[in-house]
Amino acid sequence: MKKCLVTGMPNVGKTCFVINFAEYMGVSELKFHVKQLAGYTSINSYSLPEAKRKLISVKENTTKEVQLIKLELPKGKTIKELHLIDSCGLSDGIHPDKEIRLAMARTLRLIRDTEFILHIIDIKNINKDKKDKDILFPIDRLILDYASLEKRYAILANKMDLSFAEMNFRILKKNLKDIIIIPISALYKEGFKEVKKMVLSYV
Amino acid sequence: MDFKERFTQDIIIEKFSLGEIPIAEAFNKLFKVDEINIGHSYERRVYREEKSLNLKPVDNIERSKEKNREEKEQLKNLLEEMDELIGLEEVKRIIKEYIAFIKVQKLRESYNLKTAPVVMHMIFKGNPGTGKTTMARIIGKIFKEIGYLKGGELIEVERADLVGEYIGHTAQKTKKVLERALGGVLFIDEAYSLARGGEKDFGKECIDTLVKGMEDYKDRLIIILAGYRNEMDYFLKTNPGLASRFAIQIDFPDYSLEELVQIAELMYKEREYILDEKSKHYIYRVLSELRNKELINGNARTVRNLVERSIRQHARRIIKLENISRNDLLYIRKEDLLGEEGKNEEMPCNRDAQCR
Repeated sequence: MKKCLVTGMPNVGKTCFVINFAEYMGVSELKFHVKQLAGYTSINSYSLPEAKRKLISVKENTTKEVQLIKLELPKGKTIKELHLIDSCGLSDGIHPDKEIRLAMARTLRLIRDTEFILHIIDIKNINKDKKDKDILFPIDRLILDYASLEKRYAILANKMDLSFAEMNFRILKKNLKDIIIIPISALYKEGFKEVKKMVLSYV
Repeated sequence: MDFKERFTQDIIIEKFSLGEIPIAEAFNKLFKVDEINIGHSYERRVYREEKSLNLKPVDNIERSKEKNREEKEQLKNLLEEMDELIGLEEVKRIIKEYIAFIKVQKLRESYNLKTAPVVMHMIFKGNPGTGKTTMARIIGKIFKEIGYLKGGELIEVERADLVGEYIGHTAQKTKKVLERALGGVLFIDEAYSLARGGEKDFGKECIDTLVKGMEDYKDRLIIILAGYRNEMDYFLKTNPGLASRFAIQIDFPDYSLEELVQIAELMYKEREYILDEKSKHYIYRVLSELRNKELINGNARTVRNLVERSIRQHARRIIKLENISRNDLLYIRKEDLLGEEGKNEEMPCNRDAQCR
């Protein structure tokens, strides 16, 4: 059993990716293992449309719990289990909401403890105009700096369905040469083939 | 990951969730991103450096500059104090060399270049009263100022402070002394006496403990062994590891006659007395006589005794006067030293008696 953490800034499509990737991998009923603060783990089951309706929204910080999905991946003749962990997004500065801060602290713990990190970057979150500024947002840069050296790490460039995405992706690729970047669209399940290939190589 | 590190990380996460620190700081503290980055990708490092420069508040820089200036002034004062010591040119040269060396090593460290380990344990060889203790005291202060030592105090010990009375006692005693001296200078006077007792003497145990301490506290302590030249040479031969461990061996040469007179003048000046012309010539004579009789081998301590005795004589003479003027209080006359001569002539007799 291997663990894989999906992280990134708020509203980049982490939960959307997790749900749709699970669907892509052939899961018909989603069982979210949610770790409660008291210490026990509860299981929330959703059907796929229900999950999309309830868990994905356009507001920031929809996900506050640590949600875990068990995926079964065929490898050769055996089946390997992968735990895909969905976590609260990390935003810059000090968040005013205490509940969200707690959730972010949990994400920080997960980043420390998980061996494999999928970092989702919103393709529109890129500074391409100002040359003196870093192309990534500070939080993304922090995660990248740490995880790319210490962990198994890949960037998923999400929202590739947007019109200007191609250009931004080229800039991103140019600036981060030694890092795996996979273009995806979590909503339309594009690019999942490459993600699956990479995840399989880890498991 | 060890338990301790995990624990501190948990505290940082807790702080973050309480809203005390922003996420970027939490990240940096948790995962030490800055440290990881050093030596990784050049571009990223440059970016980091630029960022960190931008982040520095202005007044912080100014404050550190001010602090720097103060430190420099302190160091300058100490170096002046050292330069004021008469003679000892060789010693001063060596000390200045090592100050430059340590400074350069620190600078290299700040640029992530390789540094040579700085071991500052020293051996002072020289006759009594040639300025060994004085020099050690100044060295402590100087090395504190350039940031090599924390406290810079001088702890002066001799054999009796280190060697115990029964088996096993010595190591404990020596260790305690070493711990007391941490962050400063441990000055062991007449160190050769540690090796003098023969095979079964506890001094050997003490030397072993010292050698271990020197290795353990390499950069937190300066150990200075001091003693007569011949005896120290013999002492270094008894333990083959010793000589190589003390990279710095400094000879304190005997003071020449001119230097002795200079010292005497300086001592009078410090005490706000003035030698008149006659007494200056006379003190020259007294000192040369003492040297010829080999009573002093360039010994500044004897000069100090002479000076202090003459000051007492001066007081005895002055008190008899009816009207005491300022000049009377200021000037040392030949008579004051003359009284000395009588006493000095007694000294050989005392010495002979002792010899017999």
